[in-house]
Amino acid sequence: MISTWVSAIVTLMTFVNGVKNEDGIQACAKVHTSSSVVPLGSPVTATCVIKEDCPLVTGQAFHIEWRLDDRLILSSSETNESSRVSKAVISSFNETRAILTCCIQTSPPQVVAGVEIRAGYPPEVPQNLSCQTNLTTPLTITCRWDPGQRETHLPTQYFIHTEIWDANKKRSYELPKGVHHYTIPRPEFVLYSDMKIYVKAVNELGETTSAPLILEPISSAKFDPPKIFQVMSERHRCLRLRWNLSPHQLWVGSNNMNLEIRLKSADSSQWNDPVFARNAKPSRPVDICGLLHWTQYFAQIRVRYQQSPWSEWSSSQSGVTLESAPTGSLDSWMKISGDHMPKQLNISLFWKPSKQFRANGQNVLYIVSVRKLPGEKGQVCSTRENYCTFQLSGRVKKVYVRAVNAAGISPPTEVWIYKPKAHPAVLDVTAVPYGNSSFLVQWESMVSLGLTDHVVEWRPLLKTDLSLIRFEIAQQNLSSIVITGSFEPYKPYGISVYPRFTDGIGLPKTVNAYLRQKAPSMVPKIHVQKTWKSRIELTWDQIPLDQRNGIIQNYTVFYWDQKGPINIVNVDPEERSVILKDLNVYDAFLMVRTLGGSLNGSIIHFEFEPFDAVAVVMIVIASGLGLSLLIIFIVLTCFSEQKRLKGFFWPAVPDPVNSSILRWASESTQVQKVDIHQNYKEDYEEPNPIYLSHLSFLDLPMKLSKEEDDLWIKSAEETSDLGESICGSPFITEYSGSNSDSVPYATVMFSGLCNSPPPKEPHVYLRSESTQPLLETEEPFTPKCYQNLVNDGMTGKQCFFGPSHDCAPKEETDPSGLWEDFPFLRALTMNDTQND
Amino acid sequence: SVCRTVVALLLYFLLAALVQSAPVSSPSNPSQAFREAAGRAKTLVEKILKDIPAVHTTVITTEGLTLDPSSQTTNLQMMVMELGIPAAPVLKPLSESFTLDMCVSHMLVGGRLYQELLVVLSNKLGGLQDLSADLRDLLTHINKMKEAAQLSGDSSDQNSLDLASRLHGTYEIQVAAHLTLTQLRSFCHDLIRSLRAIAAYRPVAAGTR
Repeated sequence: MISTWVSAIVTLMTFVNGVKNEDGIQACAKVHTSSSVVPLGSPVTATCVIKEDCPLVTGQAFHIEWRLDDRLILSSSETNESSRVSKAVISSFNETRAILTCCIQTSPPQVVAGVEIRAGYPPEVPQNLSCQTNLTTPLTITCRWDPGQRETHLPTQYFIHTEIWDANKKRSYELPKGVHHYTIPRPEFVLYSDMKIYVKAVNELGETTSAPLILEPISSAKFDPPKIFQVMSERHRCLRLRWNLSPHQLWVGSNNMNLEIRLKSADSSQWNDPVFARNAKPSRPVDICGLLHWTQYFAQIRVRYQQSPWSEWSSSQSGVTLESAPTGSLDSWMKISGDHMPKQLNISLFWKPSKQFRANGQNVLYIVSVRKLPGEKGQVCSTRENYCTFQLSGRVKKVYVRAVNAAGISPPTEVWIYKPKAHPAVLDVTAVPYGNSSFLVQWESMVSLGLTDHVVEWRPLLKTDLSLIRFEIAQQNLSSIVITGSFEPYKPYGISVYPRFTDGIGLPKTVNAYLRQKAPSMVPKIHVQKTWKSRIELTWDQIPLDQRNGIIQNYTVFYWDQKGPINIVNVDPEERSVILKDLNVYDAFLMVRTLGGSLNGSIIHFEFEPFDAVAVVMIVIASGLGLSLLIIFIVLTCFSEQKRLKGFFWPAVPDPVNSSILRWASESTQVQKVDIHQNYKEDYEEPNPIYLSHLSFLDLPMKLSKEEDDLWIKSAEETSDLGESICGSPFITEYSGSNSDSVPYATVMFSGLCNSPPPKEPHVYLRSESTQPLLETEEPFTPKCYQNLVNDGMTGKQCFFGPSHDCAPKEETDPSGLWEDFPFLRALTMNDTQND
Repeated sequence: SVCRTVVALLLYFLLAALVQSAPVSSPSNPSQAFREAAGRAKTLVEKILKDIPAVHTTVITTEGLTLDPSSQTTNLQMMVMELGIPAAPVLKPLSESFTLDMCVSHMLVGGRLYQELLVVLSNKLGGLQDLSADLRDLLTHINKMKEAAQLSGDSSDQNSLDLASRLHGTYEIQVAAHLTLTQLRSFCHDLIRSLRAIAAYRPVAAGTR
């Protein structure tokens, strides 16, 4: 900004001076410098000369000062009035552009002259000059160079010079500022003549020239990618390439070209090292030898002329070398299955090419034979597969496998027949995915004598084809191996590790593995297996292997009722059933999880019955058991307390027929009364239902009236003493009580004596119920009156039933005649008499 | 028959010399320089032959002027005479009567002729500069062949061209360009044949004739 301002002043001064000049007035002063363009940092010397006729200094002393832009230069020298000259020295000019002014110190100071000084560097030598011929239409040469890193601060001009000796032609091209490349047109160069090219850089501080480049334009051309139009094999292990340049560069083809060929076999991803072919011409095919037999190769070529840049690689073209007999051995894996009869062995033999094996042809056939020499004799199988199953005698120790193609037969591979050994040598096999198409199989090997190696065998579990079985052989000291194959994600593979011994094959360890896992494709349906009170068993089937998509980690049952939270039960993959408790009404679904995801099944609904059949059965069984135990207890108690109970429940009821009383009565009438006392004594000693104290008579059948029912109800409490009911049991068909097991009893209270004619007033019935079986067995309709023997005679106070006054015995006028027809009562009477 | 025998012997010696010089050779070797120059000349002739159709298509816009002789309906013989376009010298197969010296001289004369024609036409038409440059390069290498084989044929006795003064109108320019390109193509075919023939020729033989 300041320098701009100073420049403006200088310009103004010049203008003013110019005006004066036009009017014939001379400039007041003039500044002379050593150079207006100086190298940056170099010293600058300037002289200011004040003219004598300058009106500013006429007749007066003055002082001159120097300013560089707006800064006063202290190093200005003193002036005197006579010389009017001032000299300034700037020891180091560090500005790229500055205005140096000469001023006369008046008030205000007057600028009388000025000069612009620029500083910078001379141009650097142009580097890395390179030129490339463009063979497309139009033909040109494009040259580029590097101007250098240092900023010169001064405008630099570039010139490109060409010199063609053959044509005796020199040219120089001036380039626009800032442009560091140039394209030489076709008329300015000769295709097949050397030319010299160099670049010159020029600025106000100097010029530099690049190192010259001498080139033949055609040799600086980068050709278009050539084209291979045929790859064929005419000799063993060789391929012949026919090629050409691109159509508009065909005219160069008559020159000898340099060619590079690179090959890649079909099963390789890397190109071989390029083969260099000198003096190649499109008209001459190129042979590449030292290749493998019957191998498809892809070929690419690139060309250049002499030392020109290589073209880009051509597109690939493939060819197949000639067929030859297979070479190398096969890796084999033999399994012996079936019964281990020593005479006949079922053998499955698998093989694969070893690293050294070369099929060297197509349609390779494999022949297994028990004979080492080729021939049909001893041949056990011939197949194009990678396996073979056959039976062999147990005496055969080894077989031979050969590979055959149209060109010949390979040397035999010897395979020893190892019989299975029940000898475990492998522990804890694991297989984890390794990359996108491999598994890392690891195992622990037990230290075992005679172990030669391990065979890792794998097969897809969803397919049973034996040809899909693959194997890899791991040396004895290895405990892991990476197996690579056409593994598909989400499919199960069975991977087994077999130990091989010098004398047999040990027991394998097998593991299932998935390359990648995802959620199963289906969820098994839940079956409600058993329900009982507040418990339910849910079961489900196994997921088919092809729908698992991974290793089942667990099953999870989610269940909930309408209000409650969701409950979760995890079930191990082996179980596939769960028992849920304390439930009422629920919804549930099953989730199956693999490492790759989980899938939910459909929701099922189930309810619980409070009393289901099982519960009822359980209750009945429990009740029955309890009852049985009670009965057993009672029975046992009865046996242990028989007499006491008998006396309690079944009081001794005398048989009136065999009653001693009757006997007594009979004897008293028919026999002498001499033995009465003795008989009495005997009767007295036998178990005597002496406890009977009441006598009841039943008058059956009798219908019960309502009034009688009322009476039953009224006197029910008083008739509960069944133990004392000794009257014959009536069998009342008309009556049906609430308890069918019980037997109703009715006690009839007579108002008069038993043998007296029936009184006019109705009898009083007292009903009682009893389960007493004894009474039930009595014959119906033959009630017999019994009388309990009592020690003392019945008094009026002892009358239990009915109006007591009716029970009072009346005056006994003639007991014997009166009780004639009632021996029992008569006996009582007699007894009373006797007692008396 | 003697001449044939001599030519056959010469060819034999030339082949022997080429076989010997093939493994290691340098441009300083005269036979190698001759062979190299001849090869490059041939390459350039092939380039010119390749480019002529495209140049013709670009430059000649007048109907009926095509490179294809079968579709050429008009007879331009009178125009050739009117425009004063000279015919190129004839290139015959190498023989005793048509020596390598003569052959190369004829090549030079013909090449210069067409180069001058193209230069004249380039002032009137665009699109001929590259072809002219190719022809210039060809002449450079024919000269190299001459130097390598130390041939002394004088090619300065060519007719002076008066084409520029006869190109009055566009049609004349178009016809002149068409005729030049057509004749150049024929001359290039002759050049190819001659260059193939002398590729096996020995400059020593030419020098010792």
